This record gives sequence, structure tokens and C-alpha cells, in this order.
Amino acid sequence: MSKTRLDHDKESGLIKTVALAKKFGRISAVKELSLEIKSGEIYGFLGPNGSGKTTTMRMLLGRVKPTSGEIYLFGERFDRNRMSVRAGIGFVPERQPYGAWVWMTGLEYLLLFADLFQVPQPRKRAENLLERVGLSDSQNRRIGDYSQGMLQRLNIARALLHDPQLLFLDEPTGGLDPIGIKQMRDLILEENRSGRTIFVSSHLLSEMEIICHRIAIIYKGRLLAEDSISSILSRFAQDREIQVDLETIPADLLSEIQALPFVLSASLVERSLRVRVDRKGDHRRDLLQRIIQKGLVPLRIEECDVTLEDAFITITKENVEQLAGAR
Amino acid sequence: MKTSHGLADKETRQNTFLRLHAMRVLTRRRLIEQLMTPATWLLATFGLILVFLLVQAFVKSVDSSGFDFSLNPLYQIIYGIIGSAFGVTYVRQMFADGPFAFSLSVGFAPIILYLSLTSIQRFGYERRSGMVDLVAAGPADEPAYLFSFGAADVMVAAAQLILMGLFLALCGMVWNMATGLPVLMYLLGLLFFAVSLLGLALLFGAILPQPASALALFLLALAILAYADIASFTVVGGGFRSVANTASWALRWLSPFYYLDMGQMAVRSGHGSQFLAALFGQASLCVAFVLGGHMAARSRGGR
Repeated sequence: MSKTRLDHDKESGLIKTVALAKKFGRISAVKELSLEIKSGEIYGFLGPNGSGKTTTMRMLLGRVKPTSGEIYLFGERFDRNRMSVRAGIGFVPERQPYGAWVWMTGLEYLLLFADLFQVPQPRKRAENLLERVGLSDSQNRRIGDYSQGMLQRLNIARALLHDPQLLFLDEPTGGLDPIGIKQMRDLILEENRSGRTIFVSSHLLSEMEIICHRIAIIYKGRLLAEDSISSILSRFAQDREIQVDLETIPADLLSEIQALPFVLSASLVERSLRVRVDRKGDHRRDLLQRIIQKGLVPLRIEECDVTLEDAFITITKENVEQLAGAR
Repeated sequence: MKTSHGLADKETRQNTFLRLHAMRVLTRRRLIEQLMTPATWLLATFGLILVFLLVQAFVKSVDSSGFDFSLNPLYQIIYGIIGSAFGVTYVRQMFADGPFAFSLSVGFAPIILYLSLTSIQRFGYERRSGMVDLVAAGPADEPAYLFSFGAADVMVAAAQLILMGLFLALCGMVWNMATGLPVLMYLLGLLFFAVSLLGLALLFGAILPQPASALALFLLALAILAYADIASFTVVGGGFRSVANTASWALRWLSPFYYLDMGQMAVRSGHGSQFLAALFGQASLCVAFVLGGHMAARSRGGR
């Protein structure tokens, strides 16, 4: 089973959904979702809590039956009863199921899944993966004694056991400390370099910005945007931020800056003036002139790059306004 | 056309093989989990002790005129309870060929009840924790996961019956009692009873997402089915059937207890065909329960 490789056209989507929808009673969790994830990419699936990310992922994994629409995996229409398709998929849930199978050691846990997937040379494969995720010293400890970070790493090792073409990650950095987040990020990038396609669902935008080739933004079950990070940033980030560090800050500075025609908003964080300006033209010179006219000494000036978080807020804000207007 | 059918057949065979393989692996896991639990061993031992006490008390209740309930306090109590409910004739019939059917049933009750209750509870817990999702998103599906619980429980139940059979054979040698084919038939009847009862537990585990609700309703169903069986022994005067009696008469066909009784009576009266009919009844019930559980698990797995 582990050796099964489903052939498909490399150019076509590894995952494709067409007008995918799911209703729970009268509530629409996912609406007319059409996505295409190409082979070899890291695809970020972003959205706030309750936006339909997990429902979509559960539909792609065959755990939830769509109300309507179609799913294509590996170039073929997805039939959740086809067990062989599952050999091509690895899945890492947000957290290790609590309290289940806790009597097993990390190694026993992997060996059981290796047996389920009929992985050749299971012990060697399991030990290799445990070493890769940094758990070889703890492989004979009961998983009931593992920390959240160790469980998450064990989960990754389990998902990679059968060498799947496609890896689904649901909030992979949830519950991890900063070192754990970095290790997880490196692991995802390394797996992708080895040719694995990765579908990652998260609301941690800063992480997604670093690792994803393309992203989709989902909000209230509806797809708002799907593109590369740079395209999304240029299309949706409508303003930018200039940050000026000052020696002293007079009381009337903020109101004067806010009155400038190109300024959208301004705020003070300790001795740093943060000014949001529109994207038309370079406003650094105008802003500096005003500050110097007031007899202040700028220590540092920086125009901050637009982040995915900014773009995300713009997109979802626009959508909220549209939805409110439609009512 | 023929080729596509051939491919579909191959795919179906492959799916079946993969499901069976997953079930085998998951059954082994569940079996280890059951055997690691001290309660399994305690209840198995408790069952053997019950068998020992009942057989020993029976031996003490036999004098030159045969079996007499009044000779032993334990059997006086049993006689009092069962006799007042079903009549003296029924109790005498029950012990006509010795204490085996009764002591095996009583000795088996703790472990089979424990196995069915823990399976419902544990499956519900693992489903809620997300483990079923994790496995079913990969190499197995939800029915395979569910049935692995049933398969492991049947193995534990069969092991307990074998132990009880060996224990009874030993008792028979010590107290010079004949334990032969009837004991084997009682054990077989109990095994089929276990299979259908565990099937019922799987059905409840699959239908109800909350383990506590599943446990409560399973116990209620057991009480109703046991009542349906017990009610079938009550005397109804003048051919008149009350509504409750008619309901229980109809319900007993769905009761594993009814077929257990039927089989034990068949052994006592020497009716082989009736015994086979009782086994067939248990097997049919099990198939019905398991199919129901399968459909519930599949629909729940793919909501």
C-alpha cells in the first residue's frame, strides 16, 4: 500500500474542488468553493476560526460528505471508499487525540500505523522518522508522558510514515513554543523540497507568509482570494505604514500628523510614531519635512512592508462590508 | 465494458483486503488494551470463582434422594428468587442436568457485561478524542475501527468460556460429576450469546455519539430485552394476552436472552434441531446488529 503512487498530470491540480459546498442543517459551512492545488507546492488555507477551513479539510480527507460539488484528488474524482487513494495522503490534525492509545510508546505507535499502511521495513522507517523529528531519545517512552510539542512531532512522523504524496496539516504550529514553531517550519520546507505537496490550514498568518507558495483566504465558508503571496499583497494591501523614531514627542504632534492629507491614521508606541499612508506616492519626505519643521529630531525612519496580516484584514473587512451592504 | 468491470472488481477486492487488514491490526491493538486492563483479569477470575461456588454448593445440595434446594443456603436463595418468578417446575427443569447451565451463565455475566460496556464507552471516547478520525482519514474506515472492538471482545469472551469449560472439567473430575457434550453445548450457546450481545453494543456505540447516552440506552435495551424473555415464561390465563404480554412476546424474538434460554432448554430436552435454531437466531441477531452498526458508522463517518 505504501508504494502506491497515483499517476496524474503534473500540470493539473493534485487537489481540485469544483463548487464544493457543505451545509449542516440550515447553516452553510462551505459555499461554492473552487480550489486548485498544484503538485509540489505549499498551499496555505487561511481563515479565522469558524470560517470553514476544518470542514473543507475534512471533506478533502473523506471524513465529511459534501452537500454538493466535486473533489478531484491525484487527477481523479475522489471516492472516499477507495482505500488505495488514502495511501497517497498524510494527515496531521491540530493536536494529538487526547487520552487515546496513551499506553503505547512513541515507537509502538508508529509501528502500529506502519502495520496499518503495510510499510516495508517498518522499524527502520519508524526509527528514522523519530530521529528526524528529534524524538529518538524518547521513542521508548509512553506517549501519555509526551509534551504537546513532542506529540505534534510524533504526529508529523506518523503522517510521513507511508511516504505520502500529499500532506494535510491542520494548524501545525498550534501549542508549540517558538523553537517548536521553527522546527515545524523547517520540517515543512524540507518535506516540500523533497517533492511533497503540502496543504496547510492555519490562522497564523506570519507563518503562512514565510512558508506558502500560494494561499487561499476563506471567510464564512466563501473563498475570498486565491493567489501567490506577492500577488495577494500587491492586490489587497491598500495602505502602508511609515515608522519614525523620535527623541521627544510633543503633545500636539499626533493631531498635527493626523491632519496631513495623505495620512490615513497615526498612532504612538513609546517614542515611535506610526503613520498609515495611502499607496499613492512616497510620503516619507513630506512626513519628515513636517516633523523637522516642528523642531524634532528623527532618529530613524522606516517604511514597513505590507504583511499578509494587513492584506488579510483588508480582504475580510471588505467582505464584511459587502455582506453588511447586501443585507 | 468488461475491462471496466474487471477493474472495478479488482478495486473492490483491494478495498476489502485493506479493510480486513486494518481491522486485524486494530483488533490486535484493542485486544492488547483489554488484556492490559486489570479489570478484565479481575472479572474473569470473579467469574471462575462464581462458577466454583455454584458448583460446590450444588454438590453439597445432593443427598441420596438427589438434588434438594433446602440442603444449601445459596440454593435456597436461588430457589426462592427464581422459583417465585417462574414457578417451581421451571427451577427444577433448570437444574435437572446439574448446575452447569446456571453456573456458566452466572459466571459469564460479569465479563460479558464489562466487555460490552467498556467497548461502547471506549469507542465513544476515542471517536470524540479524534483518534477515529485520524485512523479513518488514513488506512482504515470507521466501521473497521468499530468492528475491531467487537472482534477483540469476542476473543476475550471466547477465552473466558474456554477457561470456564476447563475449570468445570476439573471440578467434574474432583467431585465426580459428568461433564460432557451438554457442557460444550452450553459453552457454544454462551459464545453465540456473547457475539449477539456484543453486536448490540456495537450498534449502540455506532448510533450514539455521546458515550454516556450510548451506555444508558444500551443498559435500558438490555433490561427491556431481558424482560421480554422473562415475560415469555409467565403464565397467561385463558389464552388472553395483555398488551404488555403481546409486546414482550413480539420483542423476545429480538432478545439474545431468549435464544440463550431456548438453546439451554434444547440441551436439557435433547433437541438438537432446536439448539441449532437457537444458534441461528443469535447469529441472525448479530448480523442484523452489526449491519445496523456498519450503516450507522458509515453515515456518521461521512456526515
